[in-house]
Amino acid sequence: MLIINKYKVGCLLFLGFFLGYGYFALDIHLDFWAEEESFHARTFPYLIALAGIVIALLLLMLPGAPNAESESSLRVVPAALLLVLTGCYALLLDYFGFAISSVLFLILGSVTLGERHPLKLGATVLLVAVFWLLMDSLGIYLSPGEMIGELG
Amino acid sequence: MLEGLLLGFQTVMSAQNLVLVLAGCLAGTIIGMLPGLGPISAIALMIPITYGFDPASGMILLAGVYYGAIFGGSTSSILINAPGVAGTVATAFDGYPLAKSGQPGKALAIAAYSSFAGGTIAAVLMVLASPFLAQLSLGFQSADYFVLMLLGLALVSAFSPHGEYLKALLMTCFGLALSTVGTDLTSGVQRFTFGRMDLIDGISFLLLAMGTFAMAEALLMVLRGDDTTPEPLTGSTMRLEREEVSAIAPVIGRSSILGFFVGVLPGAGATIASFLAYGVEKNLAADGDEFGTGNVKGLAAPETANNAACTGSFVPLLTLGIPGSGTTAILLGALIAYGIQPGPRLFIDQPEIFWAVIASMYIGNIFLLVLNLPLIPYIARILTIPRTLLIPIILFFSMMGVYLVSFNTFDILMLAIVASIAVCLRLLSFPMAPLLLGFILGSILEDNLRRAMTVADGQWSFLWDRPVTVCLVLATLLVAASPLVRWMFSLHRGKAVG
Repeated sequence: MLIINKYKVGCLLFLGFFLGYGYFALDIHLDFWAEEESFHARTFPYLIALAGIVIALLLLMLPGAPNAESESSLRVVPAALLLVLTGCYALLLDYFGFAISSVLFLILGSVTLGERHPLKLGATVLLVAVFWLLMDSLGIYLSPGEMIGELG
Repeated sequence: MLEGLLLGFQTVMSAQNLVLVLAGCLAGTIIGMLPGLGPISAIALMIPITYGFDPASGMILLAGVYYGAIFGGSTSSILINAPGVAGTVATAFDGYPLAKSGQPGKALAIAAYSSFAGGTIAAVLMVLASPFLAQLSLGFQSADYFVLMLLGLALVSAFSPHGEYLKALLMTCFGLALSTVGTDLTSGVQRFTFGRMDLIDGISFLLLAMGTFAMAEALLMVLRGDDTTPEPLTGSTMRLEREEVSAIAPVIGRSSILGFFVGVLPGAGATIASFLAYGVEKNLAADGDEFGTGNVKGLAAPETANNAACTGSFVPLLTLGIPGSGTTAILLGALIAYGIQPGPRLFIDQPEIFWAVIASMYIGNIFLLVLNLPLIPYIARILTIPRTLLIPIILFFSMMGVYLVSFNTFDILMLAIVASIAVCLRLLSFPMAPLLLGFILGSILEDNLRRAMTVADGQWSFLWDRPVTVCLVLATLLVAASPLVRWMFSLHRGKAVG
């Protein structure tokens, strides 16, 4: 009997991925002469999709220790907040610029993990400044941001 | 060979390259010391910096980071019983008890001397083996390369921990699938881009490496609540007694050779080498039952073997262009990014890179010993940086590493998505190294398969046309079937016991 647990759900998702991958491989555009060739842009994806589907099915069928970590012991909220901060950093980097975005990311990231010491939080400003100077000395330009441009 | 080695030393001995070896060793030691961050993360974090240098200098820096990270991992194993990397887990068996017994300085000194000896002996073996293997592989054709890469991928999966073989194979396929995203360079056709301009050039290997290793490790530290700052053991002399030196000398000799040959095997790597060396010495030693309580031989064996294996893993990378581990896969990615195709032609066309990497290993090992040993008590203070600051810093450097290559904020978003998926997969015990290996080998594998099939008129007969290919196919089948045979054997034994 197939017992569904988190591990098997993972395998099922992989099966779905490779089925979808194989389906989209059918959509890869081929020029009319390429269709006659023994090896074209779809060949390798077909082989990968086939191998992936067979292995995912084997993993689903065969008994195996799930080996997955217990969900209750995981601290999901701070990790999720850090990921949200990463997303915000990506979205705001162009507008706020490297310096402001980076300092905000590091301070808010540390606060999310429970850091409250003002000196330690302040040290992140120093880190960003040193990094900026280092990049500048290597000839890598990091934009101060559109906001500074609007202000100045 | 001697000329080549001299050329390598000539390249490494420039002021810039010596500084790069030193910087690489130091940066690798510091990053590798942080629990969870191994050589893959260390190299991934340093790659953007190397784009400013010529390929030889870039590789010298990354090679320094590699063995620096292994040495750094040993330090955290010994001082806080938290191996920074799987290859140094066995180091903690005797290293931590020795440090705990009031001799952390001695434990670090043994680790440093063993690493130095292991790395240096393996570098000598590499000088002897590499040109021979490179010459041999000059006769290889596309079909042989294709099967050789399949063999490498099968070996990586076969060497994965017990019961993880199929998972490793699945992750390899996942990596291969991701490698097909973007424009097919031969036909110019776009694949799996879904009309997005950002995906036309494919997924960056650096993004994948950062997402699956550096960033995922940092997030896992938070998820597992592994963010308390440990207190490293300090103090004690670094001097070794004469009896201790004579006890570890033969262990170092044996473990160097064992480690090197295990390292050369694709997929085996430093972890298997260190455990194997530990097991061998435990069986050989008269005081084998004292292993695990702070025995100097129990510390020297895995430390020597893991460094020797790191050096050994460069042999298939430089001579065949086939990485045997996640770490050498990322080095291959870096080489390709510099516009260099590793393999037997590298030895002939760009000997300065080939020999400079080998020469940098000698110099790097000396730097590790001369500089790190006296500095290690100070470097170890990095372990006291609060995790509440360290984790956001790792995330910041991961994002910068990806952003500084493309200056595209979409890549940071992709990084966050890749890291989230990697965290979920790692919680379900899906290994990441095969994913990276599959991703980096994907395009080379497809290219060789395409050429082999074109030459064979679209037939699969290229697999049995030449004796070399047949031998490689048989070896691949043997490796691929070995976990199945093991599983059936264990079932049979279980029935017999039952």
